Amino acid sequence: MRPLNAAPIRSLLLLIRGRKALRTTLVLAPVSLWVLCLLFIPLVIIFVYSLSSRGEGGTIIGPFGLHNYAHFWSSAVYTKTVLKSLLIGFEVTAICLLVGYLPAYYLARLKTANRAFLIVLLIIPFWTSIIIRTYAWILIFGNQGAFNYYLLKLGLIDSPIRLLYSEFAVVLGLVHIMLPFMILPIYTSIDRIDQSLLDASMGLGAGRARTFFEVTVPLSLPGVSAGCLLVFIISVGAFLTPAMLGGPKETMIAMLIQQQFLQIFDWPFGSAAAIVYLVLIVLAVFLFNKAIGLDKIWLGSRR
Amino acid sequence: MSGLGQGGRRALKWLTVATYVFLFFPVLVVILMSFHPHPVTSFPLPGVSLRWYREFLADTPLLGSLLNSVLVGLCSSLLSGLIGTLAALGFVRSQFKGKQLFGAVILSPMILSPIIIGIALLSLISLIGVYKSFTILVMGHTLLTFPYVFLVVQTQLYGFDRSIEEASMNLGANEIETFFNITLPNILPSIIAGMLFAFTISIDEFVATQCWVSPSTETVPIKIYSMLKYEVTPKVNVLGTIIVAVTIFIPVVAEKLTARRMGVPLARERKTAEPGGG
Repeated sequence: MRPLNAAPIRSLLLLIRGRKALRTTLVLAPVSLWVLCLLFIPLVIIFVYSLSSRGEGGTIIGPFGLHNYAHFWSSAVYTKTVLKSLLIGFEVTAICLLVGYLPAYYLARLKTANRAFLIVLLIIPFWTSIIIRTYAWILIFGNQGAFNYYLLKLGLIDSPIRLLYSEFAVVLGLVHIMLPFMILPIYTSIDRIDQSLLDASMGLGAGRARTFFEVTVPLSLPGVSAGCLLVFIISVGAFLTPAMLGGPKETMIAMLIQQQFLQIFDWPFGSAAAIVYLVLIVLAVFLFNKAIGLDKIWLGSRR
Repeated sequence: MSGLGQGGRRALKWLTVATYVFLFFPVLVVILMSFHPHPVTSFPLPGVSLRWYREFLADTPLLGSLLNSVLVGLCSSLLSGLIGTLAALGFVRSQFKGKQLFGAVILSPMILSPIIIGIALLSLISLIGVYKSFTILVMGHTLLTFPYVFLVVQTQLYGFDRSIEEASMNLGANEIETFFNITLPNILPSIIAGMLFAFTISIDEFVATQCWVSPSTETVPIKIYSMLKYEVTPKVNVLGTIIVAVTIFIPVVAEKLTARRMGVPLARERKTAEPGGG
């Protein structure tokens, strides 16, 4: 493989040969430019927009000030959206933890060759189309969906029950998407527990239940924390699930931002909502760090 | 499983089975319904028919969106492959001040919510007066996907045995020859795996993409979303089945290429934290 015939490329490569600093700069330049120009500068623009006002036809004009933020926090519609997002994020996290812990434990303690295959099966949904996995619930729980069809057929109900476009549907859809994010870190944590600790606990007379609650559970906490943080942050910012499975009451913060930008064209207010959302996420991570300690997660995972 | 009785073990097993059913059942329903013979879905499947596949193949706008998605996916995964690989090389093989922070910067498109990335880039292009176009879409998708290439290639580079490079240099090859003849062929599988992951993310991305598409650059997820809003037809199930097939098959191939588990970002970051974990 010798693609070095082109003279300019050759001279460029000769130039950087042996010059470590220059080479590092050149190699890291594309990624830096990409993130700077397409993400960081745009974020500064969003911040400036959030201080501006909306003109005719969605233009950005003065006066500049904090009025968008004041409007955001003084209006019940918007504060409710924030609270709803946090509430749904909390519900999804709690359910994922309750539903996911024992399967994670089972997988980690599995000694057969099936384990690697089962882990790959857990990873596949991570990549599988989110929009289709969300749409599937419409086929299952819609008025003409499988669930209502069988209930009607069995005579358990007279008319289809409305399960979609509710908080139930949104939480179900999100749990379905977020569950592997909870199971995998917990699995990793439990998998790393030294078997001799469990043997020692049993040998010293602690029963199965006591060993589980006093050895396994505490040693799996780094995985639990990582899973909870991941699930909470991603669920709070969910867009597709509440948009497809939720009703008007289930408007979440990402939907609010999208509506302001793509439907109402009030970019200054939408920008303020985006900044509020970003600050909330940073705050959540900060509080989480204070309460549990992210260091512990990383140290725990490195043993 | 030494810590559990027979009954407990069985209960745990069935709980795990139920979890997997919960994860895969909805997707199966979509695939099954794509073979439904009638316009109104009913259960169980009254028969198997390829009717909606035929109608799908005759639907030019739908096929157009599929073509758009594939083109955007191809272009952005190629660009991501280049940018992500260079970033991984620079990051792993040099020491500089603020390296940890720089690592976070590289991963920021993966950490930030896609709606924020979507509106941020939208604000930039409208401020400088650029129209939404195919190029913008590719640039945006590259931003969203290069961290995946970076992570996969970085993992391989950390576990890279540099003595083969030294051997090459001792035998008289210069740094450039060594890179193209030794380093690149060795990390190529992970570059390709990273690009496959990037393609998978790109083809399914909706939230940021909705900020960047114009009517002529609509991708499959955008199309599906608007179909669900305005005209529900069983053709959605066909398009869904195709997307599901693509987003299951490609990552499995990529996993095989890397020959190790790299599912969620977290699992990958951890791998790199272990000595010799590449």
